[in-house]
Amino acid sequence: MGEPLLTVSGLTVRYGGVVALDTVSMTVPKGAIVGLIGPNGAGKTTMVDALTGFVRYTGEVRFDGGRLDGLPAHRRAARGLARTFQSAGIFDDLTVEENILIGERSAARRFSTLRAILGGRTEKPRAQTRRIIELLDLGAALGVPAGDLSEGHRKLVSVAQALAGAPQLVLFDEPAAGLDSTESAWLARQLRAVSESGITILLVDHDMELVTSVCDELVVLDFGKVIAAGTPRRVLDDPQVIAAYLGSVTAAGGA
Amino acid sequence: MEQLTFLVLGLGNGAILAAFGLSLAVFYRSSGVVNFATGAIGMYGAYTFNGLRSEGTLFNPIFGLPAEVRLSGPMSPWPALLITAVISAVLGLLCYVLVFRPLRHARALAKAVASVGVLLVLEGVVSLRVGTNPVGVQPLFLTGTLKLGGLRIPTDRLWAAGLALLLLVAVLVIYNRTRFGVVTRAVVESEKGSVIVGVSPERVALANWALGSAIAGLGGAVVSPLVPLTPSGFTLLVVPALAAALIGRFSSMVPIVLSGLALGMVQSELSYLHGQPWYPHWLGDSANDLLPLIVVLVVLLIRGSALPARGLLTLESLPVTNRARHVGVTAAVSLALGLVALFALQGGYRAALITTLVLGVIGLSFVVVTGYVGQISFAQYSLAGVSALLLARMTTDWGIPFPLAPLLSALAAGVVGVLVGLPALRVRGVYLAVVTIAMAVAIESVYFRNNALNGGTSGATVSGPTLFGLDLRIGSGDNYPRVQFGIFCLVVLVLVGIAVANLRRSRLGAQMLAVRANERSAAANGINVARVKLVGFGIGSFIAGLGGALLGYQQTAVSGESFSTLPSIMLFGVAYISGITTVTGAVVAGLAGANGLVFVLIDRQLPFGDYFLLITGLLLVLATIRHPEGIGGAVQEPLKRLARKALRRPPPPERAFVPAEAESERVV
Repeated sequence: MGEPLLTVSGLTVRYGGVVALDTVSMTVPKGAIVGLIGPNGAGKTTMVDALTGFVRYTGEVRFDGGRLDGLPAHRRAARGLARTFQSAGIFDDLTVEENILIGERSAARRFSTLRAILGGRTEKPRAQTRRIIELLDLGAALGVPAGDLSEGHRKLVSVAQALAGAPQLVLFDEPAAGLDSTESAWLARQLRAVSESGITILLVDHDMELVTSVCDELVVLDFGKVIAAGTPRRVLDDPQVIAAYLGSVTAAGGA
Repeated sequence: MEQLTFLVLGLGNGAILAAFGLSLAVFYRSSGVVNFATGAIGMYGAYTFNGLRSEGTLFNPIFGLPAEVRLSGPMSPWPALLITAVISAVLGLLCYVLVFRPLRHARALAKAVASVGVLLVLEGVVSLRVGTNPVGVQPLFLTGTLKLGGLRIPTDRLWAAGLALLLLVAVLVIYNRTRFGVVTRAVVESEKGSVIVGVSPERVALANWALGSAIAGLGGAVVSPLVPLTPSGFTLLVVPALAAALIGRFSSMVPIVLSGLALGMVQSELSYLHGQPWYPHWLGDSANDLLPLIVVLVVLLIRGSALPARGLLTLESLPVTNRARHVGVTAAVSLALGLVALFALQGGYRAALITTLVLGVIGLSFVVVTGYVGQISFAQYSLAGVSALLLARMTTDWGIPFPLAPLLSALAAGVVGVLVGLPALRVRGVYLAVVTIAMAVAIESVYFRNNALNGGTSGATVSGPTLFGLDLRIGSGDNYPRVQFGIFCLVVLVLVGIAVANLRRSRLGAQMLAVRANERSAAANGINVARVKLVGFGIGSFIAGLGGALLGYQQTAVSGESFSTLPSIMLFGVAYISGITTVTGAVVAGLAGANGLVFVLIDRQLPFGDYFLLITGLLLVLATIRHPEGIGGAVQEPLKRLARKALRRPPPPERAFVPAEAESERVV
């Protein structure tokens, strides 16, 4: 594992009087797959929202040597911080190909819009994007409107979309939700392949099998606080983590 | 002292703005609707009240029955107010049950459009049944003057303002002191919340619609003796009321009512300034209509990020906008068809076809703004008017030659659009609709009706167009309309149509649709949402400006007043009904729009011009609920299916693939 790519220190998010995240600190090393887990309502999605600029926070987020604090969402994406959404954030009206092209940010060649309007040329995916399409086996579906796909396939498209921007770090927000166990195992292999290509991953999920089989490190959140961090084996043996998970049915059921 | 008198006189106007602002907040808080029909509901209340007060008759909206039902002799104020409140509440119930309950899970966009439909229906009904002449309403209270120092205060204004404050107190008591109010606030927090409390959110919304409408109706009734009562005059009072509601973020009742009163007073004060010698008279004599626009813009600039944006968990309400295929072929066929039609038709029908082509261009501007970017603009026709009037100035006074003049005037419309749209487009929500309706009113007063700028009573003369000795003018007398001008318009329409279809195929077009679908995930993909919206509105405004330049050449003497606010709102309605997401829809809008070919064809068989407002409103409501794809889309789908059958092509696959199981260990 390399030096830290993402360093979070003292991150706090308040919704009115509720403290959703309480002085959270964590690091994501370059090239790693880090899992962010925790019971329902622990603040996992809030964490993703804060890091990607959708929720206001106090504290410091350093990414790739620079500070992100105060940047709007699209600027963070442009820095190489991509994310997927829990309920797939892809665009139903657009074809699979267009959805992936949307992810190819910064690609805008000079006057490309003007040329498209006057000449009717449509842009094609770049070579690197084509490799992602191949990897995720989306080639056959490129012309299909994303709204016509099943939930599992929509997830795949959102993964491809996030990867198409050639990000340094991708935050996957529950990519396995809605997938069956075969699909989930298949997703795990894709994530590892993505990681091997040099992209760092922060994976938020409930699927313990997926998280433990894929991640190099885990960070456990409970009630907005980090209660454990380290290798999957160490973390899962932690009595506090076991208590949080077993106790969560009564303690955090409604949150 | 005189100034102070004007301020106090403005309390009458201020009271109605306060009441409308209050009901805007009630509608918004309970069901997330920015109700553009609030003024129309108040107008309905005012007419109801006037009938009761002067004749003892109840206004009856149902066609086929007499417009007035006699209840008694002329009524005294209090029973008349009570009946007005009840009738208005019933009107609100009907609005909710028929229109907004079916749309309760729809996007804010669809709700706002539907409320515009309601606006048009109400105005259409009252105009048809009672007429559009100003009505003098009997004073509600004994009129007198109160002398305070050297100040003479008409007591009726004080009464009106007092009643507005009374309404505020009543609403505050209802919301803060009753179970109904608590439940309403629970619904605002979350629908789930109210389900847990055990109250159906729909019943809460229903009650709030009755309340909101009663407030608007009472406001209209109380102030109707103080302000000239006309259907469209009262209906458009929603614009300054929106400014007041925006100050209170559509939720804080006290600031809304106070700023409503203040707006009315400042507007009145401005009309006092019109009489002063130092007043800049090139601004025209109704510059007070600029005030709502300025207030809206300033509020958006200062508090943009704090404004509410409801409706995150919503259903798609705009239809799919597919990439157009075979753009070249479609364009060639359209061009050929248009040419045949231009040569085949004569006189009035050819003129109607030309109107169709021109309106089609403006329709295309809606395709970009609403169809692609998902924003509502009520000002596209107003922007066309700006371009037309500027074109007159450029061609006659400044001698700018042909291809340059219309391009520059269109560019100017684009710039106006961008400058005014900028504050609204940074914010998520239907704020562009609010800004553009205020802009339409402001431009109408300051430019279109301003004799210092609009070319006077005979209109602003446009000369040309001629190109390399080729005469493209529309002609006059027996020569009217010349086919050359028709061809010119046709070519412009086809070119703009191609450009709009190609825009959808470009990366920017895909980004626009991404923004329309989900601003959050668009931003997560690195899209600068505000920029894409702004570029879209700029392109749309430029296209509207091109259409306006064509209108200028068509009218030859541009009448600024023809671009007033109501026709502008109507054209949005027609475009939405016709199919606001496709190029085809824009052409349908041209055919169906006022004085378009289909409009004229039907009107000559069965004169329906007076009913156009009402019909457009009804269809608009229907379109938002049932057929969001519009006539254009509804016609297109069966045609495509037929074509597919004829060519024996399989329909596109619905679920195209299954992830291959094994062979996936390749590396990016």
